[in-house]
Amino acid sequence: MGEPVKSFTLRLRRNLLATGLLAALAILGYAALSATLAHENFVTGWILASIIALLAAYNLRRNLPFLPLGSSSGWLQLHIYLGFLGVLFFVLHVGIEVPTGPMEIGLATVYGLVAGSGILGFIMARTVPERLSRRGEEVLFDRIPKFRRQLMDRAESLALRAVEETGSTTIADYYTDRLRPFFDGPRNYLGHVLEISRSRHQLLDEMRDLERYLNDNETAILREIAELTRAKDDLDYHYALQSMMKRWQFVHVPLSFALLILVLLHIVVVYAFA
Amino acid sequence: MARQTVELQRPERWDNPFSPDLTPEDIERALGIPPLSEIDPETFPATASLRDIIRNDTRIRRFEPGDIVVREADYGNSAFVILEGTVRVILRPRLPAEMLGRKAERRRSVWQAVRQLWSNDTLPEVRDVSRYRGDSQVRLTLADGDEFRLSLRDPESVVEDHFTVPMKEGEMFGEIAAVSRSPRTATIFSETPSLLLEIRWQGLRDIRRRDAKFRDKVDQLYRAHSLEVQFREAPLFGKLGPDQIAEVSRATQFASYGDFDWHTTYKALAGKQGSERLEDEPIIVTEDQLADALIMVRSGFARVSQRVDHGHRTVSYLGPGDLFGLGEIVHNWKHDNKVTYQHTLRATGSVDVLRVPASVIVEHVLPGLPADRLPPPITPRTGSRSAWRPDDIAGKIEPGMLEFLVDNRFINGTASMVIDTDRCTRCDECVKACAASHNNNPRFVRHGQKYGHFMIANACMHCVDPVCMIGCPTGAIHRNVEAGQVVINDDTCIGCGSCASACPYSNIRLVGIRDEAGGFILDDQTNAPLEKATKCDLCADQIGGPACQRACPNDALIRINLRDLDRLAEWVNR
Repeated sequence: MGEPVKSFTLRLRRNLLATGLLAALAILGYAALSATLAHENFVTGWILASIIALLAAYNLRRNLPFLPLGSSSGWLQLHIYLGFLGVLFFVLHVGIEVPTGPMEIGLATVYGLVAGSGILGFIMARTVPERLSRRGEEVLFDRIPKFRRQLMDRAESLALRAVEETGSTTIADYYTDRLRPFFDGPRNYLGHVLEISRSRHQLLDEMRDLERYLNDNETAILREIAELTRAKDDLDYHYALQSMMKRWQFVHVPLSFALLILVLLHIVVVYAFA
Repeated sequence: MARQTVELQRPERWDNPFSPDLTPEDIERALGIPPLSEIDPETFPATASLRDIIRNDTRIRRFEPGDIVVREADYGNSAFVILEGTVRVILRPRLPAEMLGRKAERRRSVWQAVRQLWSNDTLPEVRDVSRYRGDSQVRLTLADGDEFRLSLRDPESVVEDHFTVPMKEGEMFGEIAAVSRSPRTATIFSETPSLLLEIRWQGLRDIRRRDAKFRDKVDQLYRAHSLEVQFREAPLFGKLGPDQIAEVSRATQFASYGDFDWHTTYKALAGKQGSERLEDEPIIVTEDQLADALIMVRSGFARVSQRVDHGHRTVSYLGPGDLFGLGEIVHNWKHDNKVTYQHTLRATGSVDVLRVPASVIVEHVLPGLPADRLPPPITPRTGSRSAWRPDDIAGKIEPGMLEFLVDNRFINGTASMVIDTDRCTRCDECVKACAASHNNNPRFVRHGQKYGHFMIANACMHCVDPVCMIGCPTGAIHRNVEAGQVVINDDTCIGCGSCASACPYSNIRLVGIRDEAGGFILDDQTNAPLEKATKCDLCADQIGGPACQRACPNDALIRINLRDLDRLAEWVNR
């Protein structure tokens, strides 16, 4: 608890510098090895395999939170920068040619997918939290269905109240046709992920257009429904972004296990037939 | 449409007497025994006579030999007068935690930690029932009424092995802890069958206010036992000799502000605006007042604010041991242009302060203080301050955040969980780590009040003023004497919920417990499921410390002492 607080800027500079130096060292070492006509692929291959093993070890750390194995954030930093170094060693190991043979193609594809999903995850981890902070109420993912249901119940009772109090069915009809499907479940997943709010504005515009045909009581009710619509849209926004973050793990982690298996197979094959 | 009003009689001070069973004979008996017999009843008003106080603010409790009356380090809110029998004060050595019904915090070994991987239960809140039937060093007994009580199994050997002091009929104990809301300094148990008159703090406060002799006695005890030690430990007074300490101590005045039971009204504050909350906070000194005393916070919290435009901006907050007004006193010592206090000090909740006269500070403290220890010079302000002056912002924390922390009394937390939602990916690694470290039961909720992108999560804050401990009938919730965490002894918790309802921050949960086969454990008499209070224990038994903080991959979560503004500022601006 009393550990010194790390400055993100200083940490970024330090890690970039260290990674840059290691990368430069790797390139120079590779050039030197190539010049000596040594089996540079064995060296780069083993370094890459070690890097992949270390990257995979982060998952082990995550599952042993009760052991003093260092902070998860420290491990993640290592994971990120080692991941970038891994890409460099992959290029040094494979070269810039397209791999041939099913084993190599499979291995390179899975590696590409793991590295790509890793980079995507890194970008998401740095952008999604701020987006979630800025919009709507902070909500726990597991509680979203319950809140969604509550919003729908409130909207529905307002629509019924409009009929009871005014004898007019405009709001109830609008609710049935346009809002019930909206409140019924998560909507506009892709729109929220891509930060496109056309659907929200469309609904709110429709409600505003309806107001000219309503009396004061109906207008007040419709405005309450509009508020609930905004709240539901914010809830969908949280659902979309939070579920995207959770789903990402189900891509990156299994792919990493697949990569580990392929790497092992690759090593066996190389030593069997080299 | 006219609103219908509901008329209710305003609740009165004694609507809920401490004990409804007190008879007129009991009251007579209590009034006939010192120190109550030495109090002059004439100093009390007719509306709140001494007899009324005894009738409403006291109760009689019977203890059997070995019964623990008060435990060292517990927070008590009452004092005791011995009516019959003898009690013993255990002075040294301190009784081990197990003998006081506390959890003996032992860190797991590496093997025990690793074992959690496969030994954690899959069902929630599973308990090893045999533990509750085990041969504990204390007994949990049901005394008169529904009161649970801890008893020493072998009080004779405790007396043999420890340095103890007996207290007899007519003696009083526990008054300092009760009036100053400080931990009990010793464990006291009943040596013989004894009858004690327990006086709750409200009654003590009124007696102390009305009766000079009683007040002097309590103050004298406090000066003798606590105050001089407190001064000796304070860096400002550390260099003073024993005579000077005694002089400073003699000149010091005590004062209390605010509501002792602030936690009971805390939740009602939620809907109030900042300025309304300020109005509710009693003023200790204002910024226009002559700086005639150094204020030292003894317990509780105080808000330091400064007038800006037509409102007040919180610039800091003070907790136990913090000083207020030293800069002004030094300035007035060195300069002819005297200044008033530069800030206003208000009681946030319940605050006890010490007032050391400026003349005493000037005479005894300042001459011996090295120049580098003196506070920076003061530039007296002129005119009103604008509410929008970024260069005027104290420290590196937004004023709004300071207001948020003080308004919501989060400053009480020594290990609050603060989450930066701009970094938090909502991965719940913190929750998973917490669960993995507590037999698959998370001990906090990743949710809570927010200021901007900072959230104070619903995790036990391990408060400086742990109001949850007051009222625990078995003392199951206690502060770990060594490490300071507030923990619950599951073995002695009876699931009454007093801690959960007292916690102002809703950070304690009652859970139904199961046996190892997964069935709910039922009360053998009522057949109702047994409950236990649960909360964050700061991973007291884990070798790595708080798992939540270490598990956060994005540096979004910290367990932090919110009194440490510098560290908070460092983290917020990292």
